[in-house]
Amino acid sequence: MTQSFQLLVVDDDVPIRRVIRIAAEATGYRVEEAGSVAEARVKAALIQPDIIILDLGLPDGSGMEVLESVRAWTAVPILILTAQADDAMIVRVLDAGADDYIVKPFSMPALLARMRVALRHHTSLETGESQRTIGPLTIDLAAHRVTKSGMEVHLTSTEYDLLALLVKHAGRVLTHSFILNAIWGSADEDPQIVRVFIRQLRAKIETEPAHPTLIRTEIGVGYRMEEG
Amino acid sequence: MNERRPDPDALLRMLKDEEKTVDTGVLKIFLGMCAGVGKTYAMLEAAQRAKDAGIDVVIGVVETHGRWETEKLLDGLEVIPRKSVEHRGSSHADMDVDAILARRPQLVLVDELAHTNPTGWRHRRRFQDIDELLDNGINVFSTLNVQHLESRADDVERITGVSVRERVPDSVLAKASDVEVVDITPAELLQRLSEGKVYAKDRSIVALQNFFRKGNLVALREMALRTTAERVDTDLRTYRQRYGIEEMWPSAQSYLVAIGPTPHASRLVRWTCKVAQEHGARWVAAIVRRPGALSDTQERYLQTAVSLVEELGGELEWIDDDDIVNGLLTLAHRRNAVTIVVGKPRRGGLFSFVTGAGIVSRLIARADGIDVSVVATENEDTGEVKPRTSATYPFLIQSGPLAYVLTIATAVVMIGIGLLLLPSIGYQAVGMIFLLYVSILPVLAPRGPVLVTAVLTAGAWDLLFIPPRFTLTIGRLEDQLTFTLYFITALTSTFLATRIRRREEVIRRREQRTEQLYALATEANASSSVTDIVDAIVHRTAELINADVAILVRPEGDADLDVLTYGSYVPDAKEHAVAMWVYDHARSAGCGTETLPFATARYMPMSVDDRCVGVIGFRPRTSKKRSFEDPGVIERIVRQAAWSFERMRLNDRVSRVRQAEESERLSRTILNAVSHELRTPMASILGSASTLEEVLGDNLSIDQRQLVHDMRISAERLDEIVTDLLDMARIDAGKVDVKRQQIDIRETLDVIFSEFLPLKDGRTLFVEIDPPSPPDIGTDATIIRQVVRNLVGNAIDHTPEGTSVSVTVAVRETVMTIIIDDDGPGISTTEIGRIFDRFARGPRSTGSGLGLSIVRGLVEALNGRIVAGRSPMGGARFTVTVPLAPN
Repeated sequence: MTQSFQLLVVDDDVPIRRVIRIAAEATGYRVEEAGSVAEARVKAALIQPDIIILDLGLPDGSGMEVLESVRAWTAVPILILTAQADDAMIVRVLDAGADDYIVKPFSMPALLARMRVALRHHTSLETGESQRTIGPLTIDLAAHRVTKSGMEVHLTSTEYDLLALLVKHAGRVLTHSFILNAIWGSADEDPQIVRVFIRQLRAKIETEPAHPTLIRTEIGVGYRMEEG
Repeated sequence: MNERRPDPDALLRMLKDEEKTVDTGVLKIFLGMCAGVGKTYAMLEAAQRAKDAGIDVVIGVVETHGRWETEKLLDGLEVIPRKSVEHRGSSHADMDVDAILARRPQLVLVDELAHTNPTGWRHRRRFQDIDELLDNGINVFSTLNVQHLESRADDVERITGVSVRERVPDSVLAKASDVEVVDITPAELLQRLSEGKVYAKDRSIVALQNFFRKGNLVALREMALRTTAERVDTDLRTYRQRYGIEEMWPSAQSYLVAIGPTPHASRLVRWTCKVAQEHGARWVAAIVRRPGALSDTQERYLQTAVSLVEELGGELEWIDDDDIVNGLLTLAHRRNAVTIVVGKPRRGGLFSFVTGAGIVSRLIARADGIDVSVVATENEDTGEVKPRTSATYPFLIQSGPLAYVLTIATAVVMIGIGLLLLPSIGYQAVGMIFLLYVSILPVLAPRGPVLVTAVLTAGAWDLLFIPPRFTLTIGRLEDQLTFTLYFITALTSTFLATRIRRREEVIRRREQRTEQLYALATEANASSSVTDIVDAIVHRTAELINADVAILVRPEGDADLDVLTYGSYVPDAKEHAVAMWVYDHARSAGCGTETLPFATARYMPMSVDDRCVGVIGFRPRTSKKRSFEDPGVIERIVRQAAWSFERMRLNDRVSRVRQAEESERLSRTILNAVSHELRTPMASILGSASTLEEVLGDNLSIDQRQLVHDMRISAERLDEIVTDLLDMARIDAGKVDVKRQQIDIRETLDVIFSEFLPLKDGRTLFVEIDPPSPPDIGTDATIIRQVVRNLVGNAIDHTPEGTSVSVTVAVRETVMTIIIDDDGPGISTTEIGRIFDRFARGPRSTGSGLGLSIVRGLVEALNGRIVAGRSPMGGARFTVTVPLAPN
């Protein structure tokens, strides 16, 4: 880690904030804490964090409020902490602009890994690298070329758009409605269409399409592209 | 987590309701039985009062039909001019809705709600115009005759034979926040008609023939009163329930005050109220209605007295009996009155029988066991009670031996007078006088004494007057003829008078019946408990048909429970059997019917929408036949009882549903709270342990690392157990959310199995899907994942190293079967029966012991089935079958 990232932890439970602080500081983050919706809004504006960890259950409201107000002015990566592993709610926070979610209780290495993914994805978007490599797959976003183990893969334009979208957000879960919006321009389309194209895409890029390792399914939520 | 917040939908509804009362106008309807009862008059009076109170009132449209009394009330009210529209050469003028909307008054009067607008108007019907006015926040007064209501129109056509064209939906009535019934007796209305107060003379004749027959009017009046009762008493009931007002009269004794359209009526009412309250008794005001229209002043006296009665908490009854004394005494017995209060007559003397002095005396003479209080009225300031004792000759001769004595005595006097007059006027004139007397007498006396008088006077005439006198021989032919005619006349007039009186009696009874039924509807609808309803039915049935009542109702929900019995008698075993037969067959039986006629009572099913809600039995108190002579009345009582019980049942159900919803809400709140409250500390423990072990592990000694590792493993296991417990609680509470979607089962399984990879300790996992590329299936992916994961995890955890686990999935059109086999030790026969029970833990289990019962709960939430058995591979086999939603 070349630079020191600023982390904002929003949770009303002091022991959780403390353990995240200790672990994050040990791995090189600078950490600020907030315990309520009001405090989180102020701190987010004041310290301009590089990443936010946000609990949904806060004493003076829901973490959703923080998510929405912060998303209104910044694209900073936001990780949601939630005590309920409810598919519908996860889809809701992801659609509201959260980058990822982790269900309580969690193990610290998993949380740290998710934080790294979110940060890397964020910086790579900013640096605008055009060439990405994921497993045997190489995608040249500038030239619209996809090769698998050096062999060119022929994709239809929709398949390519879908792959590019997943690659740009590699490591992140993309919900059905996010994908529909990005590729088909409307969330009202039948979500079945996404599954059809994912299956076609897997047939062309996965080594073993029946047991995909590049594009992972998150049941009830969406799809996640593996990184690197 | 937000359970304590108010439900936003409820808030929204509340806001909308408030908005509604602010933004939409209020509708008041003056309802009458037919034209001419004074609806427009009442509406204008109310409008004048509103105007006096400073409200901005205008007249949208009012039809006065040239009635000058009504026109007088238009004074001082602004009238919006009618709009004229040309249509096919003819011009029609009608209410100008736009002008009213532009004028924006607080209150607009719109007469004749049922009116149909001329062709070319915006709305076809006037009630639609009214809707528009209300929507624009303008309050409306309108008038309506009961026959125009959709639900009543057919009955009206049947009764009157006049077709009703302008019909309005009953919802109009429901929309009104106030319905005032404008009620006069049929006799009064007919009087008003004949005086030309209702229609101009020429129309009056046609109208009379078609519509305004007394029989029709009685039926229409009944209809109007019932319509209002049904509505008004819903309001009353809501009011009483809201403010928790209980029944207030403990004593069964009562005071009865007779009031008429006199200035003293109010005084009598106050006096009675005071005395009744001192004695802790209830009191009833009987309004004596007499034929003939009332003057405005008289009307006002009566109105004041009536509102005073309502204000002071008395009950109202009407007496339509031509014989006031009789009516009062009947009512007094009926209401268990200890004292009848009447006003002191204004003057005695020559015309006392006309002004009512005779009434008081006769009342006293006939009031057995009932005190009569005569209260001073004009110019006597003491409220002293002076019981009268002097009796005067009853004007209307009653039947009984006395009647014969009286009529014979009168006849003898007549004969004596005849003898005195004979020399001066001759025997034929005397005969005419006798004939006149005999033809008048039937109006005053019953048939028997009239006939005796006729024979007596005829005999005396023949014997004492017709020459040759003192013989029965009648010499001249014309005298013979006169004598014969004499008898024919006497018989005919007796016959006619009896018939008229009988008809009057029928009408009087019918009116009484109407009022009883009205009271029954009022009381039953106002009741908020079964006991109150039963009391009302028992009480009114006793008065209407003189019978005892038993009501049998099966408690809801459980057909095996005993039937509940209410009422004024309890059927014995045999009667009970008859009642149960009626319950099961939904047909009448018992006394007076073809089925089981030996029973002492008649049992009838109480049906609502072809469903039997209970059985009601009527046991006559005296002669059997009399009670059942009027099937219409019984029918009404049964219907009223059925509806009241149905209403109670629905109320009950509503409150039970509300309770269930409340407990469901509570359990959901607890589930959410528990899962949140348990997970938060768990997150802290697991987070700290994993941070120590894996992030800061380099700084720890080996022992410390081991301890932290154990801590983390234990925390993870604890979390699994908590999750299991919560899942179980969710299943128990029936809170498993099932969201069926089209899923790719191969993809779903792949995700599940990847969680188990790499497999530990040399185990192997085989998967077979049939067909190899199955179509998409409609099911809940999250639940399927949890089921398969638990079962596969179970197979891995409960078997020794090197075990093979095999998963076979068969997808068919409407069903999916998942079979999980292993070649481990299998399930022992003793275990297999209780393997899905809670906390049934296998020997190697480390979990909560809930895994398999959760799996079964989830499978059942998908309407599927799971069975455990022995696998051909040698170990255990679990077979899950779930139905699939159609594509």
